[in-house]
Amino acid sequence: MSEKTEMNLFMGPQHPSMHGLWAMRLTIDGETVLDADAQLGYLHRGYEKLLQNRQYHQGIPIADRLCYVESMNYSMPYAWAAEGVFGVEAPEKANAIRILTHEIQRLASHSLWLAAMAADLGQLTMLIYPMNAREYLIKLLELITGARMTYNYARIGGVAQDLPPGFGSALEQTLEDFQRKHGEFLDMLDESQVWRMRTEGVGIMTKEQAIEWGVTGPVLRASGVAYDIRKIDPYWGYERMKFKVITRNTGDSYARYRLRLDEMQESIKIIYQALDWYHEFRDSDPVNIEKIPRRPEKGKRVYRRIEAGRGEAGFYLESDGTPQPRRVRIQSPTFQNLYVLPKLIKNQKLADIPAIMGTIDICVGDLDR
Amino acid sequence: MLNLLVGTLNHHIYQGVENMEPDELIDKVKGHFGDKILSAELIDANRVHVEVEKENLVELASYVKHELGFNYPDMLTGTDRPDEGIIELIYYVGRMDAPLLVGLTTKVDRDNPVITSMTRMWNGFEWFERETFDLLGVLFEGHPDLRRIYLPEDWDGYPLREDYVYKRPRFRKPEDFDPDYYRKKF
Repeated sequence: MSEKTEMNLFMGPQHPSMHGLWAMRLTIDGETVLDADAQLGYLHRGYEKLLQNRQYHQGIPIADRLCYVESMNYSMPYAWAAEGVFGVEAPEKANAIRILTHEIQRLASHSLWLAAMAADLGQLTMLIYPMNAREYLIKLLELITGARMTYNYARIGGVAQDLPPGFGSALEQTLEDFQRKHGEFLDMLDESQVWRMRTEGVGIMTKEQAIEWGVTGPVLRASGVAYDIRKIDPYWGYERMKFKVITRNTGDSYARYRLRLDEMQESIKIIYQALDWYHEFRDSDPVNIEKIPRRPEKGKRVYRRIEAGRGEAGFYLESDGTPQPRRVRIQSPTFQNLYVLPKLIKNQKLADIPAIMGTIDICVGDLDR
Repeated sequence: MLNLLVGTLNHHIYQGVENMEPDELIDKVKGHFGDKILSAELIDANRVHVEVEKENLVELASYVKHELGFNYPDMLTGTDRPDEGIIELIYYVGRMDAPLLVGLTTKVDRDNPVITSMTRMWNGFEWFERETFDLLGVLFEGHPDLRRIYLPEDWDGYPLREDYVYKRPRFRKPEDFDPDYYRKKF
């Protein structure tokens, strides 16, 4: 039969490879995707309104819960943006700790992404390996903050507490272990013919498209754009860290996967440098909470952003002189990266959807806000 | 050693590009548009807000994109200001080689919130405009697919407006139930 037969397929919201509560309405012809429409809002909790209805420091545990995979990377920019509204700066020691936790959190986030994506593509062994590696990284954050996933560690004007005694040796041991495991990841996936066949050449996004659609983070860099906020708009003292902005030119699923793995190596380098920087301020206090005024300046507006594991995470804050923010706007990287997914899977095979969607690295917590 | 070298090289490349200073940008925009610019100010490090009337927004956006090279859609913020009777919109756009973000600011009437969509200039604002329509009720003319994005299609009102009142769904109390309901029905 030459006649085309179209069919509607509802993918999600409880499909295991959707990485959370969102759905896609697909129009398919046989195995080919003709059209896709993303359906969001299953996890919409009104975070912007929640944050506006509370005092600035009460927003920190809420910002923590924006993304359960990398909560440190959302509460830290929130606290940092609030510092901008209050007109205070965190001490250098706090910045060193921020960079340290930021990068550990990035490693943990990328590890969980790798586990989920490998499981999507049928590599069930690789579900366990990165999960195991992540557990040790989470233990490091637990040593610092006392919690595994939602830390409540950021403070306006610093961080909640100093690093615990003996943290340096625990960190070095974990990172040495992680280096070894990182090699194993590459052996398991990069050497695998099946893995490469499934990821190479699918979901290609060109450099021009990536910029035009406004994607962020690893997805943008995998299309050949060297845009890393840590380098281009440095914050917290990233200008003193020496690391490379990884880019790849092919813009396919393989590029996005490999780029994240290479980024982990750079993160490890940054963690060692941040630890060295931290040791310069052994006896000082990591928070200057006394200097924070009771009320922020009226009409002060800031938009501050960081390079989180998924891309640009930021907060736009506006004050009206009261202890509550007038307007909070959350910039979430997944929102902008998921916007391109229906475009990427168009005219691709149905079975390639997990391979493309996996490399977008979806976290519905910050997608739906 | 190699990594160190690459790191410094990278750093050098970033320093070497033609970085637009905020003051330079403000001068250029003011020089080109004159009185049409209501205000242009540096609000924070590397963040410039340029405010225009909504009729001039497309012209400003075209200049900022094509002449100044801000081709990256970054974020869209909407703020409801009922005391002034307006909704303020800020389109943040950036360049791939500079830390600078320009916030194209404009105001729309709160009772008639209609504005030209920026999606033709920067495609990446499509979902941001849908979200702003969903939560603040701003209508973007020329948007390819203006629907609610988070809330159900039949939702009543716009939650981020200051005068929005959440109406709880009415749950039936025990006295609402008629014990003879099924007896009457069948």
